[in-house]
Amino acid sequence: MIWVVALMVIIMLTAAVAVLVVESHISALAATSAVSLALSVLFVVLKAPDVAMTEAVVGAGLSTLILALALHRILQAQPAGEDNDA
Amino acid sequence: MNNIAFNIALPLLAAFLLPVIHNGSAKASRLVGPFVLLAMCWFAAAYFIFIEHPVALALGGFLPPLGISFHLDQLSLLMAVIIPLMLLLLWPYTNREGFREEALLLLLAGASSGMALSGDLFNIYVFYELLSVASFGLAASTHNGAAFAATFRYLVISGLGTVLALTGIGLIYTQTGTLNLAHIGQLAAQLDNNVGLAAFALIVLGIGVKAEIFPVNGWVPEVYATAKPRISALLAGLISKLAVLAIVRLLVVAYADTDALSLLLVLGILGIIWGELSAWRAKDLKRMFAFSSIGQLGMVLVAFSIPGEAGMFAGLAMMLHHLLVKPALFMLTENWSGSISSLTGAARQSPLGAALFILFALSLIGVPPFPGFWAKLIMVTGLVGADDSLYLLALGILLTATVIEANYLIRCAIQLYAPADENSSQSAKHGRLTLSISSALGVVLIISLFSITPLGNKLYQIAAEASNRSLYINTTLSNAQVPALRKIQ
Amino acid sequence: MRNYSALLFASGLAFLLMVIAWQFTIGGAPMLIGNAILQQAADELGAANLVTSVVLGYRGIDTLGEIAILFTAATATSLVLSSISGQRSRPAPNTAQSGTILISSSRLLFPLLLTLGLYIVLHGHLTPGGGFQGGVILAAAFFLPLLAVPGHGVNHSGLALVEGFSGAAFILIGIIALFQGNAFLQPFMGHGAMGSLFSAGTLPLLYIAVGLKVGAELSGLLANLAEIGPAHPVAEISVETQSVKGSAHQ
Repeated sequence: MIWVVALMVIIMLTAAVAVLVVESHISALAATSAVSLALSVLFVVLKAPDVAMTEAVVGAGLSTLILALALHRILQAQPAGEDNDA
Repeated sequence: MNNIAFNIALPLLAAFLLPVIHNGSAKASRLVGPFVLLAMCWFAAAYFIFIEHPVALALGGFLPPLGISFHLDQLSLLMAVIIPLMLLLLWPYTNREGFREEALLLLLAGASSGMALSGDLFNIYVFYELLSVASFGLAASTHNGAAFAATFRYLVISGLGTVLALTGIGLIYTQTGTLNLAHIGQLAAQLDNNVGLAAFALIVLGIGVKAEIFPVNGWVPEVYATAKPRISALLAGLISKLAVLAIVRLLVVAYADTDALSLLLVLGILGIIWGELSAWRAKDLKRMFAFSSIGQLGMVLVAFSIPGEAGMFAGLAMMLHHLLVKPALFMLTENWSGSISSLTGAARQSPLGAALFILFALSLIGVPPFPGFWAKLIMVTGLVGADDSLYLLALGILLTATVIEANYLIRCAIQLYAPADENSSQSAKHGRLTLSISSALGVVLIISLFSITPLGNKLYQIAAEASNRSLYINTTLSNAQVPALRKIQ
Repeated sequence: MRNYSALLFASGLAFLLMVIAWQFTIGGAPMLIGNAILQQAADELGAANLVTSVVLGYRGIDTLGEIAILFTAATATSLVLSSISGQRSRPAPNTAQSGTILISSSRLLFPLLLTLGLYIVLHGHLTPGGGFQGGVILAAAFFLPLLAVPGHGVNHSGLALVEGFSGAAFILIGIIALFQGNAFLQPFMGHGAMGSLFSAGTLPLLYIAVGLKVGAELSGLLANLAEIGPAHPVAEISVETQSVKGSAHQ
């Protein structure tokens, strides 16, 4: 069991650092989603299946989707060539 | 059938159904909101008039430490009456734009009533969250880029605050093992350590975002400058008071004799200094009122930090006075936006508006015989009676702040009545609705001026009840009202 | 100036958290309420899933608050989006065609997701999960076709109807309890045999209401976000926003 926990913690930390490091916004979003997914496994290990399910569905799925759609709208609104700064 | 739970259930029900009703008949949907608010007024007022001693109402039929309970005393019921009244006054009667803003206002009414009535820490947090989200939508409803930018900053600061408050609530749960306020009060000894105090500090910072408490009020000037006057009036007048009340409830029940008082005192003093100095430097009326309300809420916080009944009395007096005056002043900014110098001679275009401005400004400064003077007098008496050097420092700062307040408000008043010159071409006339809202509040102010003694006695009675910690705990834990008692060991 | 005050605030916060970390003992939390609920929840509510008896029973009004928060967020978002695009915007006609794999797999997944979502909603009082989780899965099921075929329209008034009536159902169940002489949101209709589908009184009904509301709301929200408005006013607003930000930083 401890190996599962260690693996998940490593995945979470790597993904969290990746959010800060990667260039494109959409990859950063994918990395946050990975953090949530690994966290939901941790919740299962902690015997909280309800919380794990919520984390997987809302944290990894829905909020990533909403952020991606919002990002899409922002990129569409901006004139071409400006979408790589900030 | 009369039950205070309707004050939560009805506005939420109406808000959920409003889109459906609007699809059926737009005219009918415009009647729903005012009708629901009137009903809320009726329920709360009936309770407020007939209640003799505090009552705890168990929701869901589970006895308080396990289930969620509402704490009904004169203070919470008074707020439950004021909330629908205030919303009725500031309701968008002439707004033809849509039902969404009305739905948000109804949700705001339900959430505020929940915050005022609830006796459960996490339940208060849930309603606070609901109130926050509704206020984001309302602040952004001005439909321009500046309002969106201001709301975005508001959203980020508020989100940070929510995380802090939740951390604080989690810490209290790990220390006491319960979320019911009365039960926390019973176990308050377990919170009398650094972790407990840190939890309180986190909750103050978190909920303090709405209460415009010093380090977390960066959103205030921009949001109030860009939102509609009605919404600024609601946020500054009503919502900030509910956040303060939630903090005060926790303070009275669980942190009454601890360093938490000094924390509030210091944050309040910093708020007064920052708010009043920024208001003095402000160039336009809306930002000036925004900063002034930060300063006023600092004063409210200082008043509540005075130990015992005196603090509760002073805090409530300052709070209710600000609740009456600031919405009226914000309503007057409707056509008085832009820099203060452009208001030269505006009194000629809107004589009633200028007169109301003078009336409210005098009360806000605390000129006798206006109610603001009595509120500040109660506060000064309390500060002197607290007998501590920090409170005397607060007294000095309060008096200095009053002088600064007088300076900038009178400067504005002189500007209003100055002879008009050529460059003040913009129309400074007020709409009829704006004037009638401000006049209604002015009439209340004048009535309270002539009945200051009975009002003061009633307020003292409310304060004595609200600051009675053992009464709060016993009400909830020993005689909660459960209509059909379940078998609980 | 603003940067320094932010730094000051952050360091104060760090100090606060350090104090907590220094004095905090992990694992020693008292379980006053937790243990009491563990002991009597099954007898009082008859729900096999203990979490559900807390979420809908002991803390039912919190759940009402939560669905109201979701509704508020959706309403506020559509208020902002409608003000940007003026009227309800058309889906962009010239978006690149999605491939065969995406289209056919979305067709394949739709019934599976629908069944899974409904299962999780209906078994909320028996197994882990419930209205919120199942509702999100339902929303995902309805959003998938929209992702695969961008021109696919959404019936917004139908969604509003489901959303409004399921939210109202939650509150009305609470009010019916009130009219029976019980407290608001008090569970009724008996317990049934624990572990069977028809058990735990009104809790499954409440979860169905939550599931439908969450599902309809999120489908509407996602569809609203995915529909692309005319580019011009949005660009104007974003430029204005930047100028405001610039002035705020000085």
